[in-house]
Amino acid sequence: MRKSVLLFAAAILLTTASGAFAAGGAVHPVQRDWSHTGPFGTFDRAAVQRGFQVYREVCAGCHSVRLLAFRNLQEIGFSEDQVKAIAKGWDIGIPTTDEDGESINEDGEPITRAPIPSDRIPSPYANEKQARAANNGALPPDLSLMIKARIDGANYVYSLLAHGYEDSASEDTLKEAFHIENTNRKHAYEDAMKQYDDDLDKYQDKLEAYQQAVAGGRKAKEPKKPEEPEKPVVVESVEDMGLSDDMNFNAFFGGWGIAMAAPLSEEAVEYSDGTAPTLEQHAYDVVSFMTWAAEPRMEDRKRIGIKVLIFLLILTVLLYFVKRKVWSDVH
Amino acid sequence: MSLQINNRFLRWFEHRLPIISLLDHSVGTSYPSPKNLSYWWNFGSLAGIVLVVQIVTGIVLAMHYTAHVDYAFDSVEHIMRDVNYGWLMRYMHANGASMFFIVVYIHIFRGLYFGSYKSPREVLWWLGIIILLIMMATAFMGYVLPWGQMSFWGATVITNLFSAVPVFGESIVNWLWGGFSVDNPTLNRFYSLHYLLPFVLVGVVILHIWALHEHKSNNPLGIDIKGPQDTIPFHPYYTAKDLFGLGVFLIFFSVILFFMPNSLGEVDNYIPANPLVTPAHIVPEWYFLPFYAILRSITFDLWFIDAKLLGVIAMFASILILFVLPWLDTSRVRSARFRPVYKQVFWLLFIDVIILGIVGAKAPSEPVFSALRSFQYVDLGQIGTAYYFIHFIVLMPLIGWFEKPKPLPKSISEPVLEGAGE
Amino acid sequence: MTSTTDGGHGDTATRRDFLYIATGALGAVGTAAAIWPFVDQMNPSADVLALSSTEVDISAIAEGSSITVVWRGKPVFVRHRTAEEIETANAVELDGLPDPQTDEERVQKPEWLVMVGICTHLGCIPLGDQGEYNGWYCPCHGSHYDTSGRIRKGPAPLNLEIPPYEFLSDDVIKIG
Repeated sequence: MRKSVLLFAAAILLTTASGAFAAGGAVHPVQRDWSHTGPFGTFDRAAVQRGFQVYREVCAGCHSVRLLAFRNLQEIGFSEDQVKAIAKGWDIGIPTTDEDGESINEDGEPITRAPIPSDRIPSPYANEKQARAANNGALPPDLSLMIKARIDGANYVYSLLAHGYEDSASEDTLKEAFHIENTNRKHAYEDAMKQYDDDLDKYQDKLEAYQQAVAGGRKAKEPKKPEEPEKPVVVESVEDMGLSDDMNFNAFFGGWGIAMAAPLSEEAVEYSDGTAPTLEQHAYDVVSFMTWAAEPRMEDRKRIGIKVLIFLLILTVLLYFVKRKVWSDVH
Repeated sequence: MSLQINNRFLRWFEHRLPIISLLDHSVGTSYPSPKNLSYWWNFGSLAGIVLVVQIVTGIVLAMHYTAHVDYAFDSVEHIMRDVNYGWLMRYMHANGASMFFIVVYIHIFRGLYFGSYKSPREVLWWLGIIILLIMMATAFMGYVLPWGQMSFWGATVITNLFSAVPVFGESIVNWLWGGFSVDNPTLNRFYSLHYLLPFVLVGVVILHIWALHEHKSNNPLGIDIKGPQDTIPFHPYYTAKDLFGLGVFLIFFSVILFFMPNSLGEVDNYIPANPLVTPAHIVPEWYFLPFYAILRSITFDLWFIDAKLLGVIAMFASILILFVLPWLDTSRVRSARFRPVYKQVFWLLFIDVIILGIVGAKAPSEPVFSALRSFQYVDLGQIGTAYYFIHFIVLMPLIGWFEKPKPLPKSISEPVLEGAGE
Repeated sequence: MTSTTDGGHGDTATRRDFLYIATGALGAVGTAAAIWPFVDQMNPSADVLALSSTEVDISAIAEGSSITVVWRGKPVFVRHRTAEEIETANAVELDGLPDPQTDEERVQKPEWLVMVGICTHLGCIPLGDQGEYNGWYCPCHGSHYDTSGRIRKGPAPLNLEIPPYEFLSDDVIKIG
């Protein structure tokens, strides 16, 4: 009995878990191998450094990484002098005051100084309104925690950047997106039709009452005939998705329409270490950078974790024998 | 068995503050425990240890945390990034909450299976339920503190439950919030209470242990201790057993803590709270899911009570009903080992709670099976909720009356059966 | 039941004792290791340490003027001294000073005086270009410091503290 009950529970769990992805309006992300996954996973320093370059040259125009300080870059292999140079050469300054305590200069512009390593990396926009104004009303999210703020974050962002836009999506990905959208539209149509049938029945009753009232010379309001729901367009191309003009199709983005136009392309950034500047490489690198930015202490965590586990295993085995020894005279 | 103190200083001290014998009577050689306790009895002391871990890591986090809507989220990230071992403290505390609930839920189901709530342990059981309620309140308020999206919206949804109270609803909610929405005053008072309640919890735990010591632990056979031959001293037998159990538990905890620390949380909580954007699915932490499912499964009005209020009542009733369980269960036998029908029903309840947990995590209108679209999670939740209450209100009394228990052993130390049960 | 503490059976007893001692020792080591993070978390965090040194551009400080920079939450005076000030500072007889120090001991380059701007009496911030010795004057309890920042008159017991600093170039000093 107990076994069958547990089996039943497991079966329910499985069926419900497998159904989970079909419902949302996005394709399940492409799964890639990352150096940072698994219990021994570490950051690929070279990829993270290249990813920082991609961030600086492409993303930083719109997206902040406000939780990172320049000094953190030393953790991914930049030297102290390199970090100083990166900070000093950053496009955006840190607000400061002059000798008189003024924070605004004679032209009404904020007074700034060049960043130093202990500063957080400055955001491209001074505030949310400025950010929205510069981006058609859309707010480019901060990227510091992006990988942890999305389910299956690394694969999701990677898929979105490298394989999600109309030009970069594979045939299969597009097909899957269209299939999901068509299924959703079919279900929505079925639900609407059911509602329509109910409404129609109600309408018939009301209409009869109305006609009787009119025949009897009483005043009455004529009921409105419910509108039949339109049959949905079958999606066979990105155009059929019916996205608004300021939205870009992306197969991995919920609801298909993303405000950000494809940010990366082949050779978007020139690497100094000779790595081939493909779109996939750019996406891989920038996601490696973002993964590090989201949790810079990950390597410490895993390294300590391994030690703790080994220690606990030994201690627990010993405790088991202690327990057995202590209990050896109890029957 | 009385305690012999050989060290002169300790004897001097003991004469002035008899703390050594207090400990000895609580968890030492002078506390007799049934000799047949299984590993299911480890979870009580384990819960106590997790509570201590939570308090210690919590005090540490409080040294670095800022309870203000503008700084709360960033101060947590400051802990994660800049404070020495801050990530460890924060992950220990966040996952420690989940561990606490895992341990306590196992502890409760153990009590249900072996009839530990039955006479003369009703007050012990009550105190346990009070501990669960305080834990829930503490966990809920703690989850608000990082001020992420799920913190904010979870707080909004749950505090809004109180608006279902007739007449006074709105006043109560405004009183809880200290304003007209969840905002800085709410965050500050939740922080204050989140710091306070664990110490209240410690107090109730002491009462819980006190009540336990009055009639000693129940045991897998569910029969009373007949004499000293049925017991062994707590120390060293159960201290050794509990320490081994602690080791196993710490391995489990460490795997989650060090290698999948975010697996039990919601990704939305890594987005700073935004009162203008609601996340697509507002889901509570896993340990609240069954109760959340019960809350949402009430979609209909009953007499003059509207669905919202009824849902809140059902949710609270699902826990409060445990207070009267000792009287709803009419059986004279404690342990499910000797109750063939109850044993089956126990596992059905267990599955029911798991199913309710799954339902709580899903959108209500989502179909359970893709082939049968008209059967949605809300329907499954209604079945699960109905069964939950039927279990306690109908099945527990009926089974007690009609079930024929298996024969009970004569005593813990004698495996001889005592005739034919009833 | 039999007692477990009776020692008794020679060989088994030793083996058992060894097991207990080994387990206890390992447990103690583990507990000690686990306590360290709880202690270390109170030490200065990475962002605080990053501010433990400050780089100051001194090229814009005219002779005879000084600036105040913040270092580790404390004010630091950086003064570009005039030849006259340096001369006065060097001419002082050390015998009568409460805290005898030559000017040379207090500077790396004579024209640059760098010191923590906190009165050694009770922690007020002294005012520049004031007092009987044309150095600094603390308004709280009337301590007078000279052009080398040495205490000359008043209740303060020590000269103004010199922080650790180095010249990265002629124009930049790094304090801390």
